[in-house]
Amino acid sequence: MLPPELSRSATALAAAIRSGHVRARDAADHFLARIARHDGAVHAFLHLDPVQVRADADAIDARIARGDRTGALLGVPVAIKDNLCTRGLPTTCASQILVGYTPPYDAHVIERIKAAGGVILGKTNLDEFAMGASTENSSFGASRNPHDLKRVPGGSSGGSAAAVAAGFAPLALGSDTGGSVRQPAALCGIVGHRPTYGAVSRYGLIAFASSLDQVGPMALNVEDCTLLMDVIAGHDERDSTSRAGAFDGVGARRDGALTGLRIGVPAEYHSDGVDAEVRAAVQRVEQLAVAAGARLVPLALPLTEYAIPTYYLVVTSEASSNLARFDGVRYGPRDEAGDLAGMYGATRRRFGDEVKRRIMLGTYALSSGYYDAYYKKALQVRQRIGEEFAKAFEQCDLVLGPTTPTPAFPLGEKSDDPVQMYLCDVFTAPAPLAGLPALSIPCGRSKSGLPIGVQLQGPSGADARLLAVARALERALALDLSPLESPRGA
Amino acid sequence: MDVREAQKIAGLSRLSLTEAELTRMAGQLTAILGYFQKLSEVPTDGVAPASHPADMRSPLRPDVAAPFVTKDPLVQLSRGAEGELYRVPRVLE
Amino acid sequence: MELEPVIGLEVHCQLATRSKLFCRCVADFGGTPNSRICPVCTAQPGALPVLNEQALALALNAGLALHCTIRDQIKFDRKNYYYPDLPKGYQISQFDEPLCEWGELEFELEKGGTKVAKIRRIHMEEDAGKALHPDGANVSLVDLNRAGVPLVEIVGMPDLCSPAEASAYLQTLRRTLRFAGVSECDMEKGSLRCDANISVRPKGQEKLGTKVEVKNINSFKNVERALMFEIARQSEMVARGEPIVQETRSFRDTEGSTIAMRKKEDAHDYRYFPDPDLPLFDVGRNRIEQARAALPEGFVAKRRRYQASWGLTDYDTRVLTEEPATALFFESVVAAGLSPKSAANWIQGEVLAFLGETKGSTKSDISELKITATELHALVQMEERGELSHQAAKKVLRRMLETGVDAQNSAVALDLLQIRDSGALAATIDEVISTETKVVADYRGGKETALNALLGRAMRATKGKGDPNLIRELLLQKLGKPGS
Repeated sequence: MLPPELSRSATALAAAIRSGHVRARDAADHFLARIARHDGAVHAFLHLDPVQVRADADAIDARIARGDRTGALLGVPVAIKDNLCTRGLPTTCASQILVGYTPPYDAHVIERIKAAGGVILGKTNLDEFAMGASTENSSFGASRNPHDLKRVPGGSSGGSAAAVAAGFAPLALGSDTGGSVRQPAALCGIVGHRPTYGAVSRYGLIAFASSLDQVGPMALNVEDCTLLMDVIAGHDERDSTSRAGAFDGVGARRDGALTGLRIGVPAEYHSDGVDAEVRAAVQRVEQLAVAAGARLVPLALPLTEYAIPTYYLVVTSEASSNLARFDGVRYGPRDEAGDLAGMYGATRRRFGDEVKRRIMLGTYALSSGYYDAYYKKALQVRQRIGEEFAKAFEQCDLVLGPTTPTPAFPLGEKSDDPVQMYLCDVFTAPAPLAGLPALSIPCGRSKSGLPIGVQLQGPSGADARLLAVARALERALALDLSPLESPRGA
Repeated sequence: MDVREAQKIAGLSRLSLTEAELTRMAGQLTAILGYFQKLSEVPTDGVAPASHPADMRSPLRPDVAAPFVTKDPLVQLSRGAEGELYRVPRVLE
Repeated sequence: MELEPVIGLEVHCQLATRSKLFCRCVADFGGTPNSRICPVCTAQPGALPVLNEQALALALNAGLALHCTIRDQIKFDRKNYYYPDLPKGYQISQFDEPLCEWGELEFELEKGGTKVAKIRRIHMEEDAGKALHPDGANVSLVDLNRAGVPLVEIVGMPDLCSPAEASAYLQTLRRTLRFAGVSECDMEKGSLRCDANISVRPKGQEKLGTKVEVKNINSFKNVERALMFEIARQSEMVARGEPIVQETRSFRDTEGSTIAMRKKEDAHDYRYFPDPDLPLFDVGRNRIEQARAALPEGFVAKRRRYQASWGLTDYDTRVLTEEPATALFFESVVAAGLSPKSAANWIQGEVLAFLGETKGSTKSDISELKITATELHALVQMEERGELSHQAAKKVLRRMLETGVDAQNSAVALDLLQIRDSGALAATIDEVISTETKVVADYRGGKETALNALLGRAMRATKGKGDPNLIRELLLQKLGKPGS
């Protein structure tokens, strides 16, 4: 077993492996053992190949033995959301339509992690095709929140969030389309960062809604999150939406970020729809920030309430087209049923209810006669939301508020009501529409011990600044950020 | 959205749904679309639709050919691999 | 009631790039099935498109060569439909904002004169794969080598009034695009495909009749055949008072007829929307103006220049501008120093004849010649210096074309270099004079033409290698003037 100071810090673990105090193999064994003991209850992983993980860790140890100690993630295991392509490792998007699919290539972020000496630990559970906010839409069964196994871990990157919170992995990758990194991070009490659109390559991220999807790092603390962001960020010529500018890893680690900082506090983020404990926790963060030299700027973001319908029209439209390729012709399962139309229909019956619902919605929104009223209208409101943010960032450096309206909710509570589930994204959907960076850090607990997250949103490209501020707030909050000893509430 | 319309959209999406599924789907989609109607409250006359986050431009790639190198031919990922080709039920011209 | 046809053509051209439109796979014709595919063009989950710069440049050239207005910012849209040869379930194309719009094409009419047809739009898109339908089996087989190959679709206005006009338009369009370097435009290889929209209406009527689209026209010859069949079919229907159905029909080569295609389900609802994987592209005024300045000279401009600057005949200029490679070779021969008239004669007379014979068709591919412009020039210089007779020069050129060996060595190999040594020729001439006493007597008797007969004998005696001018000179020296 790893000592506590290494099991709660990927940064410290990487340093210990680099200096030879700990072998990569020991780290791998530590996390594999925890997974073996507790993942039956949590169900964070979909695919795990311990033999391969140990072999990869041994290869890192051999490299170190040869004197090659390069790589920021040297020997550190990283859990990967199962919508990122991994060569030679199954990639299913938690969907029956990709059962048995093994991609012929690695996603850009996987290449980066491998190049940095990281060990791919396994593939984590998600809502099918990242469509959901609870991980209940996984066709392989829901994941559970390690803080309360009767509750959801959030979603769609629920498996990654649960894995980090439960101490199965020191680092994880998620993807965030409308909150899928930040919301589960908040519900599981960890850090989740949604980068500026284009800061991280989407090559190899199985598309849900291309104009919003971003891969994001998830970790126990801001320092580790920055470590992983530094590895995955950067330009990739295979993604036309990849940005040229490099991530400022040094700036993200700079101290004193709160001094003179103008923090926007939108009235809309403090409505009655937000749970009282969540509101109180966020207000405490505001007070700590002010005490550390920041200034609060009252804001109005009146379009906030329109973000959800805007978001769902855009993502379902894009998804209806993005998921057309799953037809059984070139890869994945194929269900023959007479003629070609029969084969398409039978194969695509493998999609789960929520995926079908979204494909239907998007097809409808794009179809002749409805395009202007739905899809185009949504794009116009999207434009206005972007403008509203731009105006806000003339008055403040970042915007602070709750990540989610409530802490983790019980399994099954919202699964029969799509609109209620969609409303989980109320605070996380606006930033992606405008391509803005945002992150969530733990800021306290409810009386029943459920984690609460606070969200920081910044202007385009302000990822380093967000991380620096988050780091300062994390220090001011002084919470215990260790992974759970064992899952609770079984 | 009525069942007939749901049937048409399912056809466009190549989703085969049973009568019961169509009925349920039509009801759910009607509720969701009703909620989306909220957007009509936002004035958008003359606003340019934003299909991407603001001010993005696509790059161009030099015209260099480079074959994709893989151990197994990509066709072998298909359940319908037939030699070098993808087999599908007969398509009528 | 007299009916007139109204025809518009939709032409797809494969852009002459090395790689595909959105990935780095080879874009050439052929290859074993599915050998030119990758995660992007097989639509593996997570793969993304990146636009080929050269494809944009060539599409731009098409627009400039056809005098279009060019958009300085473009987007790509997804055209959604399901077909097994369409890996992503959508085609990346351009919907409402094509790269080029409102151009025109001037072409010659059979009866003389020219006509200008309007081009409605030119847009870029990716090709689909190819579905094969083996006889007797109830399966189809898909080859994705073509999937993602870059195309432009050139949509013409319905300005054409007869099958002959349609054919002339298509030929001229092809030549224009080939001279602009846009495309090979080879119908056999599928790098040019033509669909025709056709309707008939009573002569003098403004309103257009119901339009029928004819697909699968697979050769230039068949454009006219398909249209003639369709005009006759539609005219008969009108005569019988039957309504014409708006539909897509397929041309059948063997019968020379068209048949209705099975209606593609929901073909009417492609749900076009901007491709979220591809933000806007700045084409930029700079790029457009640079491309305009660098646009290769078109065949019409070349014809004008060949006539005006070099005094070539209309016929010569047409032959030389039939194919871009021919014009290029001609111009490089002139640049090497040969006079334009002489270059034109040699290329038309010998070079194209040679290609015509060896290729067994008129489709001469001069770019495959084994000789360079400089070598052709060197050969002509040998003739001008008197080292080769004209007949010998032709034989030498033929050998050069066959073997690629240069003029001097070919001439030596063929033993055709002229004898220009008066000493060596004097003996031959003496012998001719002594044996041909009758002819010599005629000459001396005043028959001037008898000299030619003696010249002929002397040439034969040298096996054609004697320099005829020198021989004539020597004969005159020996015999003096006729009648003297």
